[in-house]
Amino acid sequence: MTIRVPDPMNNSQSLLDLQRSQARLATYTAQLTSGEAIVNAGDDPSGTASILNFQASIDQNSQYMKQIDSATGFLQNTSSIATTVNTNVTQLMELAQEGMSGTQSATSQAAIANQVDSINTNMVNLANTQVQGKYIFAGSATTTQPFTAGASTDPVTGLPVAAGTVYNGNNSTVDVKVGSAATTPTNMPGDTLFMGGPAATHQGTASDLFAVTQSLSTALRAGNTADIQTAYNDLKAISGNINGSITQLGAWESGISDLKTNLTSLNANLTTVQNSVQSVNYASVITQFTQATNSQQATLATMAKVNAKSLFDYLA
Amino acid sequence: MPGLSTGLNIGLSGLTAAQSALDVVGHNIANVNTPGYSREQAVLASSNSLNYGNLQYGVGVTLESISGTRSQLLNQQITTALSQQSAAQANYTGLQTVSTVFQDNGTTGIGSQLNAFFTGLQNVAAQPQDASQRSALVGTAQTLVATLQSKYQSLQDSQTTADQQVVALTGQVNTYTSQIAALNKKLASESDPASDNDAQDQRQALVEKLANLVGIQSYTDSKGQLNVSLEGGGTPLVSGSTAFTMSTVQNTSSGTPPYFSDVKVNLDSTTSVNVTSTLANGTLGAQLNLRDNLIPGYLKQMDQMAAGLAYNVNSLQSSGYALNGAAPTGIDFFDSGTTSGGVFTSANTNHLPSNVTVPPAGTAATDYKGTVMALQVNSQIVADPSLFAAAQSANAGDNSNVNAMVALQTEANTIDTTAAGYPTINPATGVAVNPALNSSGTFSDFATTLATQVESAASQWNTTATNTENIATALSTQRTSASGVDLDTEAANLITFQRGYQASAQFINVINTLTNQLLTTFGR
Repeated sequence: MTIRVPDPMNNSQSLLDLQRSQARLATYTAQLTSGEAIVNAGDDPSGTASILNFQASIDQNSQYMKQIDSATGFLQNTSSIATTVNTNVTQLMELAQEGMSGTQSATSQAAIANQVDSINTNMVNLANTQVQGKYIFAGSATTTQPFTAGASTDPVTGLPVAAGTVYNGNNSTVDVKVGSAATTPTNMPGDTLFMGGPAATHQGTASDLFAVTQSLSTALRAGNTADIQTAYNDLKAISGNINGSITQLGAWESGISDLKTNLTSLNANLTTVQNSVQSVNYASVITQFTQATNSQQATLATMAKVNAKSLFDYLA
Repeated sequence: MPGLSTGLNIGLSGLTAAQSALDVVGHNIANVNTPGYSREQAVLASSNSLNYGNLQYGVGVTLESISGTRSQLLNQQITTALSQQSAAQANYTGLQTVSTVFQDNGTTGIGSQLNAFFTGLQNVAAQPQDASQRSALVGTAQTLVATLQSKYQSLQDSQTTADQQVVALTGQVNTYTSQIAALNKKLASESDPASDNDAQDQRQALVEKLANLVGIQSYTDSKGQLNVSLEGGGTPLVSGSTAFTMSTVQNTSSGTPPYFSDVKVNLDSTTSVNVTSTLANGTLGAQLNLRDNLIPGYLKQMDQMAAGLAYNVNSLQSSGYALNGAAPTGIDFFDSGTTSGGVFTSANTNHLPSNVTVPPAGTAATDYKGTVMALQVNSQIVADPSLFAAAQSANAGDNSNVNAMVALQTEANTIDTTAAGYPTINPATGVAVNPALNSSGTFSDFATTLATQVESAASQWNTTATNTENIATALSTQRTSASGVDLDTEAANLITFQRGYQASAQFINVINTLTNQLLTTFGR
């Protein structure tokens, strides 16, 4: 059977094909010049969703990494001060041993007591350290100076002391979020570190560094060897406590450092996967571009041929 | 047997017929590119013969009719396909604009701004006593609100554009229907309407233009008049020689602008039919779909998300402590600015911006309509960021409250999508009075889902547009194959009828010679 092929029919079909191949060419060109795989609305809905999801995860992870950096800063400051204080405690223990040796005169005992006092002042200063304007040993009461002079108890003699050191902070840790389900403390409350536990129950006890130091000084001045021995034993236990806290701080630090390493590699992976959806595959698009160009040229050439001839050309 | 004069008449009929047929060929060639034109054919028939004795002598040819080649069925199929195609095309074009609103290049999208807000919260969590982090947080919250509002505004602009299109397209519909009615009137006045090919073709071309605007059904009645009615309900647009005008009337029943126009068909000066919800095809149907279904759906989700954010952050803010505060702040973080500085009041126990609790007429409070545009950061907190409640105690370094806000980022069930309503909160304790009934993903999931919905809809309409375009092209190719003008055929016909004319002329010449012969021999 002969199919009638009237002239407008050739043209309308070829025109549609031509327009389609031009639209494809435009898409490929946009992809190649922008480097983005998705250039038109509705090109790839699921791709768009994954790009946005990946972006949200990447942003979140980056923020967690920033939190880790900030937490690490505080924890490092805390642990370096704790280490310094622990060195001071060792010095105090050496001084106590000197005081117990029984070879010292009253004058030299007093000189040792003066050294103890100056170390004590130094330790209180360290315990009042501010980092970025906040007292790092005040628990969550970061605007309150944690250690001040006040009425306390002598842990060795059990007598009240007018010029003791009291804790004004609280026993809370300040936690930050470092993962969707992970938090890390950024501080160690001063009473936990220097008094061995909450101030309410530990201030002025044998685990209170400042009170013990003060009673050591008193005992040295009085030449009371038994009290010096008690203070020495207390200091030994306190040093063990502080060492334990330093280990704890180190564990927190290394925990979040591991977490950061994980987050870094996770983000690298996410970025790679995101790119695979978001970025253009040059090899494949260039091939498609070439195909579309060929098909467009073929369409144009065919249209030119078909439209060139008509029976009218042959009628005189 | 007939005489010589009869022979002249036979020749004459041949000349006339050939000339008429040539006219038809010329008409076809002239209309080779006229849209909707159906090729015409001269239908020739031999004239009734004359009896001489027992012999029948033919007496030439007559032009019986000029017939058009058209298929009513194909025409109707094309009309339907065109309506669908133009609807899909217009929906896709509209969604392309909408899709740019939801694009996220990592800084300007809703998801990015949500992340930035939560990052601001986390920075405050790391440094709760730091005034600069609090100011930065207020800044990110204001940017988030501005972003949501500018995107919401863009969507509303698209909606308004669609509404303007509806009004403009209605006018075009009237132009076409009145022309169709006029052609109907012309055809009805003719003795043989079916033979008026050109009027029928013109009418079909108009019907197709009309079909591009609205989905229609049509049938030809016994008088050859084409009656046109709207899809889905059959409201008449053209009945015989009467065209029913379409008009738009602004619908203000919602009580709050923007108001959009209803589309009505006026059956007479007092009766009109509201067809707004029945139009689905054609450009008009697509604009109505964008205006009344697609865009409002996206707007609603943005409102829901904003309400979820306001509710959750506000609940925590009002029960939390400001920097060095002695008691819960009792103020909202996001408010509408219409209450006195967002002070928590008993009328505002749901922690939503106050004018959202008085929803527009016809909408439930739980639709949260208008929340995005009502949102702002509490001016008290903007003036004094230390009022931001990072703590759940009077301690400056306490970040437990802001940590709870940070946790909202990864918490599901924070957005009321089922119009269940948010639980009311005891402002002093921050504890929900009645339990939550919500089910949704996280905020960022919600933003992603919203963007994906737009993309999916765009993809779907794009595919539909391509498919319906293929169908329309195939149908129209089929029609052209049957009804189109083929220049080669016309060229061949041209020669055929030219030769016929020449031969008839030659025949007349012969008769003339014979007559002349007769006259010179016997005439003197």
